[in-house]
Amino acid sequence: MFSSKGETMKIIVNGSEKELSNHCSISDLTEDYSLDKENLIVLKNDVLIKYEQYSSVFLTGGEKVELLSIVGGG
Amino acid sequence: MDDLLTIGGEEFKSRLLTGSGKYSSDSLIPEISALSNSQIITVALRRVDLESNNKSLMDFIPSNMKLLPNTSGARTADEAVKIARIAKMSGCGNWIKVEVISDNKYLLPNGYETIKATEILASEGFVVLPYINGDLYIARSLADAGAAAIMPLASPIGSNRGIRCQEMIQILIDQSSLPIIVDAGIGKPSDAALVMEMGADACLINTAIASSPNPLLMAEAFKLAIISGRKAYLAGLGISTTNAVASSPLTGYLNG
Repeated sequence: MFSSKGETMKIIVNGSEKELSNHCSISDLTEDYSLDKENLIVLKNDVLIKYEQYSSVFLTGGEKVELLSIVGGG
Repeated sequence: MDDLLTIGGEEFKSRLLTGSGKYSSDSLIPEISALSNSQIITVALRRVDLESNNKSLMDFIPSNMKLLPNTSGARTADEAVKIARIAKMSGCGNWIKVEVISDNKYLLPNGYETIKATEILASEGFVVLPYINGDLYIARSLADAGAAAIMPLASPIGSNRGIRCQEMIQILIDQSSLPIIVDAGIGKPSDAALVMEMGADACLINTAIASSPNPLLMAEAFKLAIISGRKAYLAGLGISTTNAVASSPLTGYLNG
């Protein structure tokens, strides 16, 4: 369903399709969105990725990524 | 004499739990927490807004406060369990407020799904505080399922409508072995004082503070109301009569 042809690949981020360059790490992805990594909660295919792993976990195409955070609530 | 609130084996001096939502700015949270004397604060888990880069809520939550993530957004037990597990894995601790709501108009909780989620999460070691419509049999099932407290609503979330379920809340207070934390719909400090006078163990307040024109002063007002209501409960209310009973002596009048 998702391709890794050429320079780019596609993944799902927060429910929407996103095109990324190949060899993209979680760290690269968060920088792409200019996100504050310290307070981020990252799931890759429903598995929690810890902060220390952001630079070493790579996306290859087709993954479902959730970028979550703690927000105000009652 | 210490009159401490005990939940999940932990003791707290304050009987006011606060929410972290709806404030005009998250930067108000540290001062509201200090003025309310709250020791437990609820938070939610959501997808980040990929279009903006806001400061994280966690930057504003005092480090000495107990985090109580909620499962808001969950429509089923499975969704609630998923949210709770993510919250715990990401370092939010093992406390969880289970709220399972599939009705968008009144935001009333689904008791059946709440019981199912509580059973699973309690067996995984969570300290579960379930949010319910105050039904005694749901509360009993939740106690059997391993809940650490019961959180009956006073009126719909965010409505500020006050104590509309007073009789049902009183039944829970009288019959439940678990702490009763009145949550949702409390609109003013006198509402909180009322349920505390009835014997509730604590109140959770969010909208009533956040929607006040002066949230900082209102946070302090709620702190005082809850202390007041609790002291009145411990003191014991005097008997109420339909006829008058004079406060001054009935003899020795200066007549004639």
